[in-house]
Amino acid sequence: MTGALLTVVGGLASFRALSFDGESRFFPLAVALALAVTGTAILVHALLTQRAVASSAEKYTAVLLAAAIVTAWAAAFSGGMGFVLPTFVMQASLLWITGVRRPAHIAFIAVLVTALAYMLFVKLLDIPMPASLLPNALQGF
Amino acid sequence: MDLIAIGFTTLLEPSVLLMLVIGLFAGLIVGSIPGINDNIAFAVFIPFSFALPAAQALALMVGVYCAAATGGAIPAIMIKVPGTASALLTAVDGNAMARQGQAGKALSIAITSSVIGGVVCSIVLLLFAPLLANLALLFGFVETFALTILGLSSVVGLLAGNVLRGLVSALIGLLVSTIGFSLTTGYPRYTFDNVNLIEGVPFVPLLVGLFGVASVFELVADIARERSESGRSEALPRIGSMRLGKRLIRRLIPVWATSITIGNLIGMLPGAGMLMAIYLSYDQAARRFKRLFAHNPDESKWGEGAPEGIAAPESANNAVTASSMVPLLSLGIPGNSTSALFIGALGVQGMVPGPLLFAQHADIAWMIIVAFLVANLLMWPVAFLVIKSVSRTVFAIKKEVLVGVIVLLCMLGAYADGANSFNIGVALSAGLVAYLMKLANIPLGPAILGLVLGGQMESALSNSLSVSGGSWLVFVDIKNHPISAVMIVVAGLMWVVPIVRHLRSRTQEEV
Repeated sequence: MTGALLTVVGGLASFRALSFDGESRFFPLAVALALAVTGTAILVHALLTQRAVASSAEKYTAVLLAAAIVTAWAAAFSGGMGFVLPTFVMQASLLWITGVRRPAHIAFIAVLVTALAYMLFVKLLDIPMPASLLPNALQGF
Repeated sequence: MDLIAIGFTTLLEPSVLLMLVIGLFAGLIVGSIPGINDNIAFAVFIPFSFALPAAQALALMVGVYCAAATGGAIPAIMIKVPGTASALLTAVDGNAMARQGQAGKALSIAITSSVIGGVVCSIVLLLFAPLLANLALLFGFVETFALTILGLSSVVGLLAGNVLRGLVSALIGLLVSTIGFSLTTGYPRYTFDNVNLIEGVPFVPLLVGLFGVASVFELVADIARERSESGRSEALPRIGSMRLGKRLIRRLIPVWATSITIGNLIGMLPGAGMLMAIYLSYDQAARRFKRLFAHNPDESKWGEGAPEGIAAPESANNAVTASSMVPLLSLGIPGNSTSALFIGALGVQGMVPGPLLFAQHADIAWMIIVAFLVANLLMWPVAFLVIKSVSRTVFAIKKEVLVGVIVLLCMLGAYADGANSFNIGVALSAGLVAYLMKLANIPLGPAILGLVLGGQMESALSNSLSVSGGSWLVFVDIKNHPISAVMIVVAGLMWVVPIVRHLRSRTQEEV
């Protein structure tokens, strides 16, 4: 799997590098080709040794869920949903997938983390937030 | 001497010194949280440096960097869970001592060893970094290219038995470094018409993702694994007296000397990493213990509370933190992954590590060097304060809460670099890629080095070939470029020796 993926990435990057102008092409093309070759070597080695890799479905499901939650937070935060609501939902969801089940605990921790992060980044460090689609009264949150 | 005085003058400004002390406290506390390694500690503090002037920001980062490695020893000793990977071996004898009612003594050995290791290697940093930087100023394109090859070869070659995957990692880093406008022609490469990629992949979000976000995914996986196992927590041992007797100090001096030497040498090798130094020094200490003390019936057995088992890894890991800054500050080549993050911290302030740092920002370069010395000296009282006051509270923080906190700090830290939402995507993607690399057993270190050195390597290669009329022999021209020729030969050996050794051991196994 790893070898195949690296071969494909290296191959696509090499193909793309062919469209660069002459002087800009050499280095990325050489690196991409080398990546494709080493990827193929890993693939061949894996096929020859036929080593099975043990995996834990539960572990990867939790990681995939965490990645999906953070992606959803990023989309909501950048897409104008403000800071507070997406962050609260993200914190609560992450607590849930890591096994915290008591609603009061989840709500308390999520509110606390969201409030501290808001104070730190928005109020103290004065980092401008993305444009918000929220109603006027909620602008800035 | 004047330059050292400039460094001290900059550092001893109250606001700068305060930031160093805050960094020490923060690094010790964050480092002592089980599950947060020194890379995460460093990655989550980078965003805070955005709002600070250069001297204050970098003093804060030096404090965090030095203290995180030491902080890892506290939970390793108290609850046998290393706060950082660097305290992996400290947990063995350290926790055994704590369970025998000597937690205070074990903690004291760990802190004293860390301080001694850090101070000695800060002096090495003070002596060698500027010398090496002056030498590097003499380098032309040919030598610079050879240096980048040597840097990459050292990190790949040291991955004995894993050279192919190390090479893959380095190539991934080099390929990502080609994204953006070509440095020689200005042609946009792999930008897919995205203006955010014109100057390449934003470096700080990339590092925050590779270290911070990837670690969050690892933490989530750990929690999922632990939930299926029944874990029963034991009561914390009492700390007790932290005094070290003269006899014990005399006994540990040779261990400190050996471990600091090992940590120093390995720290200066790009990519060799802290773990290698810790294992080698631990091994040396074990041999010495078995030779001199194992037959004594009053002594604990090795692994069951031997003081050397704490002193060796702790002095080695702090020796690495300072000495890994030698190649970074003088040549721009990071000695380990955490020192690579220092490039991000310098980048935030518009500075680039390497010989020009000493020429263009002498006050800051020297301030960083003397800050390592002062940070290690201040570590002793700060660590004692942390142990006596907040460490028990810190152990009570649940991993489940840390997941959300770290991910939020990483994401907002990435966003804060230019207040650009694109950076959040970069950090998230980098985190996923780094996590997948870990699953595929592809080391991250060479990729970081590839990312850091890629631009320099390409431009040096292009200019060298242009000067030599396209002849590749220029790099091994012993007459006109002897430094380059030597570096290329050493780099070649770094590839060949591990492969030959690996093949030979396989042949012996088959026989």
